Amino acid sequence: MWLLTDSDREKDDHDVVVDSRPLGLVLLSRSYRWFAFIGLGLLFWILLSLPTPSGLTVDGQRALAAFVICLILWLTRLIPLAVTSLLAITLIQLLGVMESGEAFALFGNQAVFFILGAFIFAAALMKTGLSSRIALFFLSKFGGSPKQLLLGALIVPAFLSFWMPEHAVAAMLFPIIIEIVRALGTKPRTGNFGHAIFLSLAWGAAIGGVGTFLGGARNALAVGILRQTTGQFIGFFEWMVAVVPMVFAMLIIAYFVINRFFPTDIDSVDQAVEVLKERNKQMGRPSIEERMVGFIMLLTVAAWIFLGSAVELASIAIVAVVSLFVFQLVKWRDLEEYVNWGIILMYGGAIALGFALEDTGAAAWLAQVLITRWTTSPIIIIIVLAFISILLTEGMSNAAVVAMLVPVGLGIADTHGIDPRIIVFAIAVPAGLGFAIPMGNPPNAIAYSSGYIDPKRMLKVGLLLDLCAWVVFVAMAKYYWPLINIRI
Amino acid sequence: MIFLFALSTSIQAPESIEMALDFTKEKEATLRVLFVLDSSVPGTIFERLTDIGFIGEKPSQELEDAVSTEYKNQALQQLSEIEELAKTKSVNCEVMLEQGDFVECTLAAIAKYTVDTLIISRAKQSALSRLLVGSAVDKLVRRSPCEIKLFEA
Repeated sequence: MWLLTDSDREKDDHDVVVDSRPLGLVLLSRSYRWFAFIGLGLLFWILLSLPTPSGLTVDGQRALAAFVICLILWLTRLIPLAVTSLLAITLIQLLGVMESGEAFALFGNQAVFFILGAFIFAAALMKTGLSSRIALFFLSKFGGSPKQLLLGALIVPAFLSFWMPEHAVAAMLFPIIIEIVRALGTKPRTGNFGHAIFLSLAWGAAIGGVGTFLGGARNALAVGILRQTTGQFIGFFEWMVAVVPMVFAMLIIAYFVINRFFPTDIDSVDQAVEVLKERNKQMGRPSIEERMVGFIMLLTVAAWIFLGSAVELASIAIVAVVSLFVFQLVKWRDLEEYVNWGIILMYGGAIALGFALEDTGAAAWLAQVLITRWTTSPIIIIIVLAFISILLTEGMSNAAVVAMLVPVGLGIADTHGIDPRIIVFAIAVPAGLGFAIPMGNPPNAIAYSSGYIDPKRMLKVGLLLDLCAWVVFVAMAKYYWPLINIRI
Repeated sequence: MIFLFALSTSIQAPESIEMALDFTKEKEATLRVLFVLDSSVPGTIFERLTDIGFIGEKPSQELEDAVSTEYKNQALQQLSEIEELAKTKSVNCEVMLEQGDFVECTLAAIAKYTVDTLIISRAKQSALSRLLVGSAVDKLVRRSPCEIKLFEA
């Protein structure tokens, strides 16, 4: 066996490559972006030029035009999501929907700073190695049998996704799971155990990510839009009380679904246990930095839970971040490496667009046209919103789903006297539960990139889990939430 | 006669391996098996992750490295299995691993080893999807200077 190098290749720079497809298709495949942008420009102009429909203000029409353009861009990803958000904030002030100062000020929304704080904290957890240590500690407790290991691969990412972004959890655990499957000799794409363990990783992280504001930043984004448009708020603890039981229910269902459709094809996980032991050994004793970050994390979460009603969540997050620097636990360079600053643009723009839709009455008008014309039953509206949210999140970024649906949902709440907090739950929670499409959410994409997952099998089982998530969500909304004073 | 069987990270067709070996044996040729670690595959995934998941540069890079290493391991394993299978079928077979663009690497290997027949496989894809999106295999079919044997899995 040998490896060719670039220098071995004899390339002829004068090669002429002939594309033999029909000319129209060649032109279309090479210039579709420009056609798309021209089409978008035309659509924008048409939306602005149409007579204003009854029940909608001129400002509302303009906000809707900006919304439609951003929606298409979020969906097609012709430009990065964060850049689309920048465009949103620019369009609404250029169209006169909002004063420029007011529009740009929405980048300073509390939710944006809370999310930023959460990402910085996750960076500290990863940088010090504390997150890996916790993951390895808990995973090594599940080494009794293949089924136990699968349970661990599902529960550990779910638990970690309560405290750090779900995609960061999946990324951190990925090399450990790779090492485990290699040690067990699982075959890519054909082996059941390979499928099962990578899907456990992805689905566990996704399910855990709906449990708190930290796992899925979209949750904080949804609450940010709620607060900006209605003045109402959902606290850190309040969110957990409402959603964590669903997390447990979904973990149990996911475990049985995975075992049913990917029955284990290995007898022993002794080699995996060895891998975990070796990894644990390499970690050595916890460093002072790890202990300090753990301690600050515990204090911060306690403050979010117990002081969240009195002190701004974003302020608590920022104090925690500052203390990381006071104790020299992270350096600014670490943050630059671990934090994607595009998130500020994405979420700031989404909140501004949501506010513009609500403020101009466009959200209420859109809600009337799309949903409440057909039904006024609150439970049906919740069921439909949850369904649309799950469906959309399979094809687009879950943050974009929240940015798109929450303003419309709040419009419905406004016109039908539904508690707007329920609308936020009905959209943000299902938006994190896309299980079927590899590119549907980051944990799915990370697991799929391993090469161990057959996308057809993932689609089949993932759709079943999507359906289960929808049913469980509706059951929670109908039977559990009234017990905690959230009434539809 | 020299046959070249081209495989890549995104082209998985286990049944075609046996077909390629049988075909080579039937024609009493020598089979060179080229596995191309297509660098664009993890690249595309992580570009998307950065965009939709807002994953930081360092974790993204670490993840990409882990995926690339895994792809290399999987490729080496597959090549070693092909070598074993070729031995049992008494087929004269040599394997090679390369990193880069699937089409370019395959064309370079065709030129370097004066290949008579290129053997490739592809997953079933609708004609419309192939026309619009195109595929690496289609590009090879258009550009290959030698005869092509195509297995559709």
